[in-house]
Amino acid sequence: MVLVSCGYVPLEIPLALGMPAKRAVFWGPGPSCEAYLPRDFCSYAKAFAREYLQDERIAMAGSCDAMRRACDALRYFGLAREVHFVDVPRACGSGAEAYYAEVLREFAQGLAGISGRERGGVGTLVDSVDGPSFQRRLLAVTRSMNRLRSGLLRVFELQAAGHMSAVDAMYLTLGVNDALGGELKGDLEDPRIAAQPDGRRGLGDGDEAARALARAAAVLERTMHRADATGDGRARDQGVRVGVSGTCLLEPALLGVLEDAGLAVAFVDSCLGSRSFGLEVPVDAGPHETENGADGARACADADGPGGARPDPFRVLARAYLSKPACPRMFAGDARARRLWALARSSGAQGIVYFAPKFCDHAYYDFAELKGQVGEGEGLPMLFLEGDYGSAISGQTLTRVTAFREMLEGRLGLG
Amino acid sequence: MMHLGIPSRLRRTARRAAGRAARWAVARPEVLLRRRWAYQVASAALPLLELRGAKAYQVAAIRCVLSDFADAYLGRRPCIFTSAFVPTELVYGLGGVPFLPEAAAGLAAASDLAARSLSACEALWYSPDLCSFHRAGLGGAAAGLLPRPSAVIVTSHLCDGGKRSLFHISRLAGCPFYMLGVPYVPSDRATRWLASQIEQVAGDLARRVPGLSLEGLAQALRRSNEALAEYERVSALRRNVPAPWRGSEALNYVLLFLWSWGSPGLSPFYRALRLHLERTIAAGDFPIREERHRLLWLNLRPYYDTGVFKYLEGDCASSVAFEEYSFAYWPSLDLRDPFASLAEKMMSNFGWGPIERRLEAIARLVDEYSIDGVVQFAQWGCRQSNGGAAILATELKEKGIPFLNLDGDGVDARCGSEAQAITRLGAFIELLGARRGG
Amino acid sequence: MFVAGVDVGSTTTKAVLLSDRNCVARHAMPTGVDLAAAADECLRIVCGAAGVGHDNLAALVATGYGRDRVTGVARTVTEITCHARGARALVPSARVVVDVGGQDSKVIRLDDDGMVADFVMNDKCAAGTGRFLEVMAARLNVPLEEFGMRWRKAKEAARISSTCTVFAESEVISLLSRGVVPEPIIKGLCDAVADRLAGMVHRVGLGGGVVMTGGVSRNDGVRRSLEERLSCRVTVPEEAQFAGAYGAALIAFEMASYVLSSQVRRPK
Repeated sequence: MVLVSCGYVPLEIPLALGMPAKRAVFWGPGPSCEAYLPRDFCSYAKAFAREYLQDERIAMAGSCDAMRRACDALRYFGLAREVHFVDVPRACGSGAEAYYAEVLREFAQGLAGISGRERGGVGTLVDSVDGPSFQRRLLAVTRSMNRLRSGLLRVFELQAAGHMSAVDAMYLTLGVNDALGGELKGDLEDPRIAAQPDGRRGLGDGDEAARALARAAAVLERTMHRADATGDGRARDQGVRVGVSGTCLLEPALLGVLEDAGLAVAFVDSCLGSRSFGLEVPVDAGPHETENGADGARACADADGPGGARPDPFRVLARAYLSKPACPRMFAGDARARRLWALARSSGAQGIVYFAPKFCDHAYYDFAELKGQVGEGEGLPMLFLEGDYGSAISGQTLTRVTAFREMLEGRLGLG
Repeated sequence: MMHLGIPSRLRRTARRAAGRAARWAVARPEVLLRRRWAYQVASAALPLLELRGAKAYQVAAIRCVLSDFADAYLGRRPCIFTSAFVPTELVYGLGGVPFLPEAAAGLAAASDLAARSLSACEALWYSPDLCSFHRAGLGGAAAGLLPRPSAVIVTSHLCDGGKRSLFHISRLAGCPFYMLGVPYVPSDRATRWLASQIEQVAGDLARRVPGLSLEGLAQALRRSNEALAEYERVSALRRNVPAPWRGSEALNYVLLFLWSWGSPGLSPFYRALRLHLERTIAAGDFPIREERHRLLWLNLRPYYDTGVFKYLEGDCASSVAFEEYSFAYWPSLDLRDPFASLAEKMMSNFGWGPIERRLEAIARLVDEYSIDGVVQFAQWGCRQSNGGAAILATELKEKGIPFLNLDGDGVDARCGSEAQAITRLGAFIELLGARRGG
Repeated sequence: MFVAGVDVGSTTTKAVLLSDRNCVARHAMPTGVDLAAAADECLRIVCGAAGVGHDNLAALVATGYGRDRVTGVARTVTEITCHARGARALVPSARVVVDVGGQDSKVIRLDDDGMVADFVMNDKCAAGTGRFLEVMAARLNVPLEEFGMRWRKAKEAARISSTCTVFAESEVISLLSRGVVPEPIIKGLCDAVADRLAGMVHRVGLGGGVVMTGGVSRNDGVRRSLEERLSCRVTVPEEAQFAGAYGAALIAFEMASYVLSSQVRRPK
C-alpha cells in the first residue's frame, strides 16, 4: 500500500502500478514522534514519524519545510521501508508542468522498480512506465478516479443541501480513501463489488489496486443508496451556514463541533473536500491512440508529443493536478481568495471557519491573507481555530464556535 | 582629545543636542532613513569612526550597507525585495538594489523597531508561532519602515515563511511578484528549468521596471566572483586556532553575506577583513587567547542585546569558530552562462534537497575548523532548520561530536529565556570540558 | 419582572439580578470544584438580597466556561456575547472590550449597534491571563491587589517573556536572584500581559472606546500598561468584574420581555 502525504500527488500512479494507495490520514501523532521531529511541527507532519508496516510505502510531497524534514526523518531513521519524495511545484505554468511530469515519471519508476524487484508486480502488470500496458492501466485507473471524485463532489453537494451531515460526508470520504488503500477487506464479500465495472475495466484480474478501486466505488455507491433509501428527499432544518477551510482538515471532529453548535456546513474547502474532488483528469481517447492499439489520454495540445503523437500521460496528470483549486501551499495570486468568496456566495455561507493545525506555517499565512481579502475586504466574518490535528476539541474551541454562531445570528437579526 | 578651544558649556550643549538627535533618530528611523542629508552626515562621519577605534572592515561594511540603504530608501535605484538565497547578483546586475526584509529584521532587532514591526504583523492576524525574522520583515513593511519595492522575487526553496511573507509585502506594495521554483534534486534538466525562470524574471523586470536593464549582469557576476575569492581567503584564515575573529561578530555579518553578492562594496569589505585577520594572526592578538573550545554555530543568532555570547566567549573562553550560514557553498560563477550559473548556485545550497547534503556540509566544516562541538540555534518557528535537529544529533553523536539544540528567538526578545539559554550553554561547555579530561 | 444572569468563570462565579433593566443585587464568589453548586449558591445569595424567590425569576441566562452546568436556565450564551452586551451597557461608548479572566483573555470588537463584529481569544498558553499573574504574584510573594500601587512606584520595567508562563517564571526567579526589587518586575509582568492584549486589540482593530472587563481589570498595573501600548484611555467600569453576568442578565431580560409581549399580543 502506498500512503500519500499530499493531494497534489496523483493516486493514479501507484494504483496503475497495481498498488492500493490512499491519502495518509492519522488519528494524531504517535507517542515517539518527538524523538524524530521538533515539538513546533504541526501534528500532521509529526504523525508521519512512526513505525510503518512492512508493506507500507510512503510518498511524501515537498508541501512545506516541515514535511520535507519529516521525509528526511523517515528515511534517515529507517521508519519506513520505502520513502519517495515527490517535489510538487509551488505554481502552475508550462515550465512547472513539464518539471512535475518528470517528477511523476521518476516517482512511477521508483515505485515500479521496487515493485518489480521484490514483488513481481511490475513484471506482470506493466512493462515499463512509458510502455503501452502501463498507459492502458493508467487510463483505466484515471477514469475510475474521475468517477470517484465526481461522486464525492456530489456527496458534498447533497450535504450542503442538508441531506446529509458534514460529519457523515467526511466519514464517507474517509471510507472511500481507506478502500483505495486496500483496507475495508470485509467489503470483498459484498456482492455489489463484483457488479462494479469501474475498477476492473482495463485492469485485469487478481490485481489489488483493481479490487481497491472497486471497493471504493462500492462504498460510495452503497452510502448514496442508503441515503436515498432512508432520506425523505427533504433537506434537514439547518442553522446559520458557514464554509470551512484550512490546510489539512482530514478529520470529521471539527465538522461535528460546528454542527453540534448549531451551524450548517455550506462547503468544505480542504484536501479531502472540494479542493480535490473538483479535479477531472482528461481521458478522451484520440484516433492516434487507437492506431497505437492502446487507450491513451489526450488533454491539451502542448501535452501532445511532436506531430500529434500520443500525449505524455505524466504531463497530463501534472497539468490536471497543478491546475486543481489551489491549496494554501500554492502561490496562485488571489485565486484562493476569489474561489473562497465565490464558494461562500454560491453556497449562502454567512461566514468561514478556518482551521489551522498548530504550527502549520501555510495555514497561518493563508488565513491572514484570506482574512484581509475575504474577511475585511468582502465583509465575510471569519473565525480562526487552531488545534492539534487528531486531538480532542477543547472547551475553548467550543466557546469560540458558539460565539461565532451568536455573532452571525446577531448580524442576521436572529439573536 | 583636542577640543579646539571650544568652551566646555558649548561642548555640553552640543553633546546634549547630539544625544537628543540620536534619541529622536532611534525613535523615528523611518523618517531618518528617507532623508538624503542623513546619509551624507553618516558617510561623512565614517572616517571619525576609524579615529574612534573602529576597524577598517567594520567601516567598509557600514559603507556597503549605507550605500544600499541610501539607494533603496531614497529611490535612487529600483529596490527589489528578495527572500534569502535569491542570488542578489541578479538584482545588482539589473541595476537595482536588493532588500531582504528578513535580514533587515535582524538589523532592527537591536532597537525597538523589531517590536513595532512584530506588533504590526500581529495586527494583520499573523500567528506569533511563525518565524520572527519573517514576521518582523512583513510587519516592518506594513508599518512603513521599509523602502518601497519595485518588485519582489522569492525562491521556492528554504523557508516557507520567507516567500509567503514577501508575497504579502508585494500585495501591500502593489508590485510584481516572482517566484523561482527550485528543483529538489540537481540535474541538467533542473538547471535548465531554473535558469530559464531566472532569465524570464530578469527579462520581465528589465521590461517592466524603469531603470532596470540586463547590461550590468556580467559586471555583477564578476564582482561576486571577486568577493568570493576574497571571502575564501577569509574563511581559510578563520581555520586558525585560536580563532582570529569573534564568532558573535561574525554572526552579525552573516546578514551582509546573505545580502550583498554582486555589490561593489562586498569585495572591499572582505579584503579589509582578510587584512585584519592576517594582522591578528601575525600579532597573536586573538580575541580569546586561551581558547578552550571551538564551536560550529548553526542557523542565526539573537540579534538583540543578549548576555549569551558574553557568557560563551568571556566566562567559558569558547569561540564560535565558524557559522553554518557563513559557508560559501557555490563555485565561482560562469560569466559566459550567467543564468545557468546562478541556477547552479541556488541549487547547490546545502540546506535544500535531502538532509544528507546539510550533514555533509556540517561534517566538512567540523573537520576544516577543528570543531569540538556544534550548537544549533533553534530559532522558534524555523521548521527547515529545526526539523533536522534529531538527525543532526544522531549523526554527530556517531562522529563523536557533542551537539546542543539551543531554543531561542533571533528577533523577538519576548520569546526567549536568556537565563535558560545560558544554563544550557554552560552545561554543554562543561560536557566539552569533561570530554577533554577536565 | 426579575431576571438574572450567572457567569461561571474558572476562578470566580458572578451573579447579577435585574429588576427590569436595573441591577438590584450582585454577588461574586470562588467557583471551586462544584460548578453547579457555585452557580446555585451565587443565585441564592442575589435573590435573597433582593427578597426574590428563585422561582420568581422570569428568566435566567448562564454564561462562562461552566455555563452548561447551571440548572434551570432559559438559555446559555457564550461569555463573548455576554461581555460585549454587559460592557456596552456599562460604558455606552465602548467599541472594543478587553476581557481578561482567570484562564483566558478575549478582545471583542463591537459594531455601532453594540453587536459583536469580531473577536479573538488567546491561545492555549496561560500567558496573558489572570492565571499568569497569579503564578507570578505567588512567586514574588506580593498580593495581586498591590500590583497597581507597585507599578506606579516602578521607574523602569524588567524585560520578561510574554509568550510563556514557564519562561516568565524562570526569568522572575533569575531577576530576584540578581537582587532586582519587585517593582520593575511587576511592571515588566504587567507589560508582558499588556503586550499580548495589545496584539489582540490590533487584530480586531483599535478605534472608539476601549473597555476592560473581567477579574484582571481590577489590576491597575495591567490597565496602565495597556494604555501605554494602545496610546488611549482604557476604561474600567466599577462593575467590570460583573460585565459577563450583567450581559447575561440583559439577554435574560430581553428574552423574558419577548415572551411577555408575545403573551400579551396573543389574546388580541
